Formats: sequence, structure tokens, C-alpha cells
Amino acid sequence: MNKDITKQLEKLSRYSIVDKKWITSNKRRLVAYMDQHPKSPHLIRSRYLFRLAPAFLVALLIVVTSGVTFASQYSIPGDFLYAWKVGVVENVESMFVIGVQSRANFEVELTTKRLQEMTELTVSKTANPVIVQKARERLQNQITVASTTIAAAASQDTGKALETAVKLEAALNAHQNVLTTIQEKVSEEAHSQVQDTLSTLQDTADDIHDAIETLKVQNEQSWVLTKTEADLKIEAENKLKSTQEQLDAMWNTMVTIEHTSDLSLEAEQNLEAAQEALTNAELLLEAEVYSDALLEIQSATQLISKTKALFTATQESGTIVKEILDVTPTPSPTINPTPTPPATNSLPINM
Amino acid sequence: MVIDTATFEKIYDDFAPKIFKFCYFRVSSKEEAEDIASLVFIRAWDHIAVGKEVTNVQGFLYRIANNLVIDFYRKNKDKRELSIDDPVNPIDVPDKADFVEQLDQRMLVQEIQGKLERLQDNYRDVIVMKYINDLSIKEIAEVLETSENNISVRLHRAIEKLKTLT
Repeated sequence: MNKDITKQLEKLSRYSIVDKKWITSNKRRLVAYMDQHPKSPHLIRSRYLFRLAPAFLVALLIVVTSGVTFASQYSIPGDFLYAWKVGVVENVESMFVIGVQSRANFEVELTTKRLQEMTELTVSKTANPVIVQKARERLQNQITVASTTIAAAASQDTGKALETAVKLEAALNAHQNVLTTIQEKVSEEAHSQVQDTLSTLQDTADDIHDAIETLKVQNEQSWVLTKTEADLKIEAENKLKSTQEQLDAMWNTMVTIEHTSDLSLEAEQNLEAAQEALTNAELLLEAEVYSDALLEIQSATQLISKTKALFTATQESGTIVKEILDVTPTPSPTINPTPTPPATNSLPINM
Repeated sequence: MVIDTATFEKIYDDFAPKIFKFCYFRVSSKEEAEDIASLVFIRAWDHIAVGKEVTNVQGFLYRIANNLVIDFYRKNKDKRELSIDDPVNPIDVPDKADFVEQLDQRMLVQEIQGKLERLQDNYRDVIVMKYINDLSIKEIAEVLETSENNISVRLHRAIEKLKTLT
């Protein structure tokens, strides 16, 4: 009998041993209880709301952070949102930068932002001298970081590192040009503030220029040492085509701008010189002197970069800078106008 | 799972006999088992009525039933200890299962009940759930909130113990 205990138990599982009267009477009592204690619709709603709450919070957080991030885009040192811009937005962006070359480009973009802020601060009448000094130091640090990452990128690809270095130099030169123009238009008392910033830029510009010259030599050496004539021909043809496209795009952008300042005139002259260099490159390609053609293309690229940087420095600057430069901001398909800071902050302009 | 009154009535129809059976073989008294089983559904409705979620209805009901049986054991601790001390002449005499209409079924119920009475509680609960209520090892583990391995081992020992009982 004991051996069959599991069979007995299983047999028992098939029996319904419940008292059916109890089942019926208990159900009546249960239904009555349920009527007295109904399920609360309010609680149901609350429960669903509670479940949706995290989604609402996340959506709200995204909206708020997106708004703050957008608003902080044009902030300068001393502004309330500036800490968010450099402490949060740029750090988050930095996390998504992968590769030495991309890192170098990213650091140059940051340098361009710091330069833009520095120019804005320099012409701001209300800027705190301590904040201006800190901004200069931050700019110097950023330029050092950008130069270091470009040097690291050069160990992998000299040509690309050279392009990035050219962009960095172009940005520096553009702001030097803008500040030099401003310096001529502001009063004597504001003169020294602009001069201090210009001195900061000059210190680093010389180093970057030297680095570019070194990279150019290395790049030329790499053509001779690592590439055949056929390789150089293909490279020259491809670069000629892409550089011509960049130049055409810049011309199209220039058409939308009113040429009222010396800087826009300079930009136009740069583009004309770039076109001349590309025409030379085309002739050299036909003559099968590929390395010289590449040098001409390099020269055109440098001029286009300078123009782009000048364009950015003037058209993307705040209204105060534009007023001083006498640049009429005109919306273009590629560049958005910047928000307007209060006009009272500007430095006194010599009339 | 959203449970309204109609759904809960259907749940009662499906599970009331099973929950009663579970309670009956745990407490050995028709009246006590009916009271506990009634309370299981009241507690379940209270839980649902305040908007709390139920993902596994079967596991949920058996868990309430198991907790109520444990409460019952605690309340009747003194009486049960006396009964265990003297298994030949227990004070808490097992139910005669008079409500079971068919004689062969009644005899089997009485025989099994008599043996289960002599098993320790942690063996008895797994035997009832596995063989009388036909729950899987996984389902038992969920009700008792322990591992499946633990249940398997406990079940094996319980069967071995049950086989030794005359």
C-alpha cells in the first residue's frame, strides 16, 4: 500500500471533494462583499497615471534639457547658461567623438566656439575683467588641446591632420582680423581690452603656423615616399573636384551677403585667389606634374578655410560685433543668424 | 492583468474547489478549510480593489491560502503540539470527510488525511500542492517563494517519509 502512495495521491487529485452548497453560498457572500467594496475607478486611473509617470518625467526632462541646451548655445562666459554649455553639453558631445582624427576636428570646433565667445566678451562693455581673463585662459588651454590632438592625428594621417590644422589657423586668423578691425573703430579706453585679446591670439597663432609648415613638409615627403605617380594623379583629380565643389558652395554663400565691410571684401579676394590656384592645379594636372598640382590644391583649400572662418566669425557673431564691423546680417540657407544681445552692452564706437 | 468583478467571479468558480482542497488537506477540518478558503477570495479581492496588479492568478491565490494556513497553524500551535506529541491518540482528531458523497473517495480521503496529519508541515505543504492540487515544481516554488531545487528535495524526502508511515 505504501508503495502506491503517489498513485493514491494522484487519484485523489482527480476527486472533487468540495461541498457544492458551500461553493454556491460562499459565492453569494463574496459577490455581496465585492458590491460593498467596489474597485475604485479613481484608483485605477491613479495606478495608470503612476505607471505613466516615469514616461512623463523622462519626456519632461528631455524637453527641459533640450530647451536649456538650445538656449545655452549662444551663451558667453558670465552668462547663467554658460556652465551648462561647457560643463554638460560639450562634455556629452565629447563622449560621442571616436577616433583621433574626429577628436582633432572636435577640438578645433570647440576652439572656434571659444574664439567666438572671446570676441563677444572683448566688445562687451559690461564684461567683468575677471571673467574676461578666465575666458582668455580657457581659450589658450583649448588651443593647446586642439594642437596636441592635431599632432596625435598627424601620426596616423598627415594629410587629414594638415586640413584640421589649417582650419584651426583659419579660425584664429579670422578672429584676429575681426578684432583688428574692431580695434580701429572703438575708443582709446576700449582699445587696450581688444589689444590684450589680440596678444593672446598672436602668441598661439605663431606656434600653429609653424606646426602647419612642418606638416606640409611631412605631407610632401609622404607623397614622394609612399605614393606612385598613378596614386598622386588619382588623389590630385579627386581633391581638385572636391575642392572646386567647396569653392562653388562658398561663392553661393557669398552671393547672399551684402558686401559692406572690408572683411567681406577680403573674403571675396580669398575666394578669387583660391579659384586661381585651382585653375593652376588643373593646368599642372594636364602637364602631369601631380605633386605641384596637389600643392596648388592645398593652397586653395587653405584660402577656402580662411574665408569660411572669416564668414563664421562675422556672420555668426552677436549683433554688437556686427554693428561695430558694419556687417549687415542676412539670413542665408546655410548659416543661421544669432540671437540679439542687448545693444547697451557694446563698447563705445569712435564716430 | 485587469480584473473586474465578472472576471473575479469566474476566477472564484475555477479556483474555489482547488483552494478548498488545498486548505482541507492542510488543516484537516472541513469548517476550518471553508473559512480559510472564503478568506482567501476576500483577501484577493481587497488586493485587486485597491488597484494592485496580479500577474499570476493561480500563484497569487495559493500564496494567500498558504499564508492563511500558516496563520492558522500559529493560532492553534498549542493544540497541534499536543496532537503531534501523541500521534496515536491525537486530540485534534482528523475530519471524517463525511461530506464526500462517494464511499470509495471518502475512504481514500480519510486514509491520506490520516497520513498527512503525521507529516511535518514543510513536507505536508509540498505533498498537497504537488499531488493533490497538481501544481508543478516551479509553481510550488513560486507559492512558497523558494528555489525549485529546494522543492524537489523537500518533495523527495516527504514521499520517502510518507512511505514509511503505516
